[in-house]
Amino acid sequence: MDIPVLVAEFIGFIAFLYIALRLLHIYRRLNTSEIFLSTISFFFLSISQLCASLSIIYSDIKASTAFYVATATTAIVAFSIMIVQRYSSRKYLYVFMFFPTLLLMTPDVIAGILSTYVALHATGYTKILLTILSSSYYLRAISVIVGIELIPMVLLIAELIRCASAVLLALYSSLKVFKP
Amino acid sequence: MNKKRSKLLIVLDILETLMQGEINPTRLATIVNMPYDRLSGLLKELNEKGLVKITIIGKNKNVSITPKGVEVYEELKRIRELLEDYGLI
Repeated sequence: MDIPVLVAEFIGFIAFLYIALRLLHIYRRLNTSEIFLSTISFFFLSISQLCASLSIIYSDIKASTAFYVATATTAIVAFSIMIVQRYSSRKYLYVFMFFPTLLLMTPDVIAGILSTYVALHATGYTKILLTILSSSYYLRAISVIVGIELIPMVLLIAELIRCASAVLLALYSSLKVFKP
Repeated sequence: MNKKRSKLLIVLDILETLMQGEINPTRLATIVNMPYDRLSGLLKELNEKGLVKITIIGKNKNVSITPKGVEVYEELKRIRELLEDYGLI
């Protein structure tokens, strides 16, 4: 089971990194803040995928756990930047006053909330895939509070959903900027 | 709510107009719906980056797109679609 998931996570990493590099390429020519912020967002999404891959590769429980948690925290950074980018030039900055409250919650819940927020403003397949991806973060968060015997099952389902939606989102998005 | 047009979309509008052919900056300002002085600053920046070419013959000033500008335009179109999908622009 690990190998197909690992391959899928790695494909997601490459696809998001490809998008970040294409954006970086155009940023160097135009110097616009929205492209800069998008570059950083997609770069962190790629790092999130890389952390997910490393959490599978490392057999050491401490390293594996650290990468597992980093998967959500790097996704938080990515989605936060997307939200900042969306509202930075508008009068909605008060939304960010709620962030300290959110930070008291687990990384998975925060990643879930932020990705849901980004999904609300997305369109088409991106909206669907982002919604599925955010639901996987909620499932990861739920796994912490379910009974000990259910944890592996919930985590397995959450990771499968997260992995599948992230790789599909990465591939779909990278096709948009793909340059043959 | 009126959303402020981002620099990315303005540049895209300029390059899209220039794809139709050489144009006078005053006419370009009308087409892309922005003040002439602001457009002049942006055209100077795009000229320095090699994306557009400004030619002055006598009293006439014209702007045209360069091959590098065409390349950036094609790339920006793809990026706009991606950023619109994520609701970022």
